[in-house]
Amino acid sequence: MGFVNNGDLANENDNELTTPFWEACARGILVRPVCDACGTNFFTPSLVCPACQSTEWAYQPSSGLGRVYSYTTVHRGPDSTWEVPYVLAIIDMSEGWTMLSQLVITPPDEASPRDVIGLDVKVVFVPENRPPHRVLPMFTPQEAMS
Amino acid sequence: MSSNPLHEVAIVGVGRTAMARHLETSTLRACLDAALAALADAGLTVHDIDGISARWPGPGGTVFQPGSSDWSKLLGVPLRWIGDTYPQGVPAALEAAAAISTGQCETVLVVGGQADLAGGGKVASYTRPDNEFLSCWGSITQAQFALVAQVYFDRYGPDRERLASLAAMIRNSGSKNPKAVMSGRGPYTSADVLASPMIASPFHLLEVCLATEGAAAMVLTSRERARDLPQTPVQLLGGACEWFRQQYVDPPRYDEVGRIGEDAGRRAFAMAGMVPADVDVLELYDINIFEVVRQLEVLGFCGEGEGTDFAFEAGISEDGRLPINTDGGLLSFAHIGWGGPTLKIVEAVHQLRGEAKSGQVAGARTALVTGAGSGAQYHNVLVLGRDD
Repeated sequence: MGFVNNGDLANENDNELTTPFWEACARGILVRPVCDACGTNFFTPSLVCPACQSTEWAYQPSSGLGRVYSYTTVHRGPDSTWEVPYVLAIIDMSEGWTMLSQLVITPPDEASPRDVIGLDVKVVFVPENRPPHRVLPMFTPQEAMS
Repeated sequence: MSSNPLHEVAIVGVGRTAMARHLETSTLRACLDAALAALADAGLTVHDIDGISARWPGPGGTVFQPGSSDWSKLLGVPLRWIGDTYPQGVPAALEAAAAISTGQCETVLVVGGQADLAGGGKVASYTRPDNEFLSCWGSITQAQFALVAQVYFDRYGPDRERLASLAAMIRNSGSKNPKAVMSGRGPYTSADVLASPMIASPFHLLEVCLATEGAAAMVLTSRERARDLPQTPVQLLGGACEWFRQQYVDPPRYDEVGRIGEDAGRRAFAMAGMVPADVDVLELYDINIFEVVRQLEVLGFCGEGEGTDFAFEAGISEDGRLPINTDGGLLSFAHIGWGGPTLKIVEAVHQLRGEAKSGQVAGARTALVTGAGSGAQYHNVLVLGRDD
């Protein structure tokens, strides 16, 4: 787990591969890579399709609809500039791909993870409140939570 | 037991510096101190080693990789083999063993650690993964593990108080260990654990590992040469790794990484000709208390979802039926980053030589060591035995 993140260990940040994703978010559209050869949806973006290694893939708009696979309420952020608590979640998207994001909800009762796991959610776009000030796709319940 | 070249390799010396929240020395100096301590423990000098696995934390050296070759100048010895595994601990031991058992070199020094990192209220840099699809959400390392744990909790509903008791048992082993960073803190009850601040649900502060400083080292050589050295050798009986996916890029899912370690554990035990019940002491990679339970399950000590009750009923302190992390573990002894997994081997060697000054398990002859875990999306397993 968690050792020094040397440059050679981290993914390239803000590169040609991922810029179109952030540009789409800035326009209020969630996109994901779809392989032209085999139709696989994948995320995070990579040079080739992880299912068939085809270089022929393109970003396509997503429905923005998904379901919470797992979540955690974070009470200690990476540094003191993060306002806690906030809710991280793994979202399974309707097209069969997955992304990490935040849920825009009141942190749930810790005793009932079942209330959040399996929750149907939709994308909302939130300005990033720290550099590089992108627009971040976050998720909110499709129906108001009881 | 079938013949395996791994069995012809032994750990003959171990060393570590003092462990602390902040060490007033450089990483390089700390690593050098641990290296010289391990060599002295082995009854060897720098002139006896012809292989190094160490990386190079600077200052000086070169921008060129592999960093381990910079150690030949520092120590004034030409080398026949170098390694640069990520991380150290089990992968470094296995790689060194492969070099030794294939005749590429005879004696390998493994050393790593960290010191004098910037503090200032921030959590250590290696606990803040910086991938662009992680950092923007504020995903600390423990949150990655929490995402796996939440699905497990939802599915199996482990007894929360018993799970917290396990964290208390490991923390209390550290509490009475003078060498632990958290020495003298505690003892704790399950209620104390559950009352400690939440870090990332479901983990409380006392259920997650430290981020501290120090360095650890070990010396490996052939069993044949080991017989001429002063310490009782500790033989490599079995070992294996699993790498599911790069850590901290794509989120960890329980259905993908919840059982990581099962395959490596099965292969390591098969190499050793052993089953889980044959293990006398366990040094599990306790990034958090959930990982201890999860690892017991995937390594075959008990069934999926049964780890909490199994460990609680056995007892995991030095006098329990299932002694785990007898030095206080990552929860209480120390966690020193990339070199940290070697600390697990150092403690296992102390146990098998009967030399642990705190938490010694009487008559321990076999040990199991693990590294990493589900949230990191890789895992590794090593089985060790006293060789006399």
